[in-house]
Amino acid sequence: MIVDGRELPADSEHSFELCIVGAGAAGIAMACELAGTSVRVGVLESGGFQLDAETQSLAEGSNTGFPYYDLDTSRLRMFGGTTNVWGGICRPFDSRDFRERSWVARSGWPVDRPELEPYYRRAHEICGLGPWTYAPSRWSSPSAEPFEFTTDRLESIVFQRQPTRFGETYRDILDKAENIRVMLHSNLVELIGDPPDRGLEGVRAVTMGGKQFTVRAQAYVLACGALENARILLASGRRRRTAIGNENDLVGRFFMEHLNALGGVFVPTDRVAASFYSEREVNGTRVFGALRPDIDSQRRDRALNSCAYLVPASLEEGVKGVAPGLVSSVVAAQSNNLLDDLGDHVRNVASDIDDLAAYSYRRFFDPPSERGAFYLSFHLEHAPNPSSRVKLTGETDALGIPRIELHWKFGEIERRTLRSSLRTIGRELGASGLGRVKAVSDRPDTGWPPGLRGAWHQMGTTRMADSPGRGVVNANCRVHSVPNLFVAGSSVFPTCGYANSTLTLVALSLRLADHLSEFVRK
Amino acid sequence: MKPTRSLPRRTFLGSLISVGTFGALAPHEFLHFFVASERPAERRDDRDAVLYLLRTVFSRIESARTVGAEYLRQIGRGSTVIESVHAEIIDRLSDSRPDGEVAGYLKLRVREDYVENRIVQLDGWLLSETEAACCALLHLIEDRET
Repeated sequence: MIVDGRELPADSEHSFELCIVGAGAAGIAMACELAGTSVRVGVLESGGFQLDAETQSLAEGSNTGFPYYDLDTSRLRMFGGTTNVWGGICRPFDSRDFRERSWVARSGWPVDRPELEPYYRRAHEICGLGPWTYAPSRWSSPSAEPFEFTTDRLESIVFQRQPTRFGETYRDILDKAENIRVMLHSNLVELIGDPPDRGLEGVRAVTMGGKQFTVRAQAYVLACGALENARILLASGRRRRTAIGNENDLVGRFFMEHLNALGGVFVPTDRVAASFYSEREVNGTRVFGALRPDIDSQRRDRALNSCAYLVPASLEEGVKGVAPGLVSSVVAAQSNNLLDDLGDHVRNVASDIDDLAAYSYRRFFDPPSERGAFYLSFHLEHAPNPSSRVKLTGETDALGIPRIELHWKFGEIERRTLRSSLRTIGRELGASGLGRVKAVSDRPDTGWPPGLRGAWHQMGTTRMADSPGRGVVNANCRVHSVPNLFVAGSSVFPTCGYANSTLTLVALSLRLADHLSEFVRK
Repeated sequence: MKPTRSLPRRTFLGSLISVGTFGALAPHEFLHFFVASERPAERRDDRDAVLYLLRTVFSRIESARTVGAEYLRQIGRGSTVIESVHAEIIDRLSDSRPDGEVAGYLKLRVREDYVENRIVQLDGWLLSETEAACCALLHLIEDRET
């Protein structure tokens, strides 16, 4: 059932076995997983079915680090959360993302990829994606084949894309589920329980009109996104000596974003077809390919994980291409004249050299050769960095909750990753006779290529770790210091790979739903 | 018309050795000397043969010359790679190897450059040392021709 919190009696109490705060991708996935079970679930959602400015203004905050989006526009407080506007690009994290890498400080998840496998499969269905396979061969065709590389240094990978609107898609299921009660327009303002290590006793919610009510449950899940999860925990410190979960000063730290940078230009030699890397439909599933350096290259260069999309360099095609959000970056790149005169000459030289090569590479005589160029749009992992963080400010929102300040910070390892990745791609495309690559010059003021930006993937502020000294939540996503408080969503990611976060956060949420259905029975 | 290549390998290596010391000190000067020298006559034949080969490799001469000029502009004086590529070409041509085989060797060497990370960056472009050197060689020889 879905109800309007504004219509609940003032100062009323509502009891459930499980209380989920937030009805975005994580919260809705959990609620759907538990729909029709014996677990009684209450879901608090700040917004309604439509975006309203007053509620959205609660998300306002300030940026003090590397330039970032206005915080009140980078996520949505409404039923369905940011899936109301997302692009739907999905891919599971690589196995390497879960492992400890000696060259990446604080890397390694307490959960490994095989353990997540069944949840990834289920998450795939919930996200409305196609078959659970990312093998390039499964998504190739005679007119769209992955490049053949000379070495194993570079790999073709596949993304699927289906922008499922969780709110629209799962509204009916949740409305009809007898064991689920979604309360819209209900903003969490307080975690009740002191001391917290004996468990939360309830949460207090308030509507924008000031009506308050209390929800009590055996277990509570914060599923409000990486910024808001940290904010709620940090704000709990107003009435306590230490904010809940923040005994080791970790809440809000390790904020991560995928770095999106047009780091280079790829000019294919004659007769090289790159259709595999453009968005296309295969048996009803939207897919596109990308390039990823292998783990040995990353280890050698002490680089993070990364991939590069091939975005057609003509603005019109770029807009229609795999990443519509790249328009501003493409414009910035074009104004920097990346495809300069030398580029055409390089292409001609490369075509002459590669055309008669004594080694084999893909040649396509029909359809006619593609003489376009592609921007290499890099998606870089962001290293866990304690200085990249969310903090509370002295300002409060309309409900009296402190606003946040985001200090987004990254540095040398990310820069090294971009250079390493670009060079690996350039070397392999050259070695395979496929074309040549140009590195884009960094802007003197930022030290990064023009157009560097976040991908609207906010992660890591309540990171998962086996010990409380290294993370806020444990492997079951439970806040270390609180026996019945859990966190769902990408805020628990210890590291973030390069792949878009939604599929993995949904998989983790489904795993948490499994865990909690056992937990509340006990 | 394809130039005659009658130069025995020994003579050719002798020519290289005779200017080797100078070349080691100032490779760029060495190249100019080597490709532009008035005598011996065999050197002129050889220059023509190298030029003929490079014109076989590059169908768009102006592009190769432009890339070559950029490479020379960047490296200024001194590229042992240009020397080495030049010597390899001459060595193979003097063995009376077919042009196609020599061209194939160059292309293989380009591939190996990429595999082995022998890369130069020209205005941001990641190019194999060999392909950049071939372009530079073409530029140098043609400049002397004109």
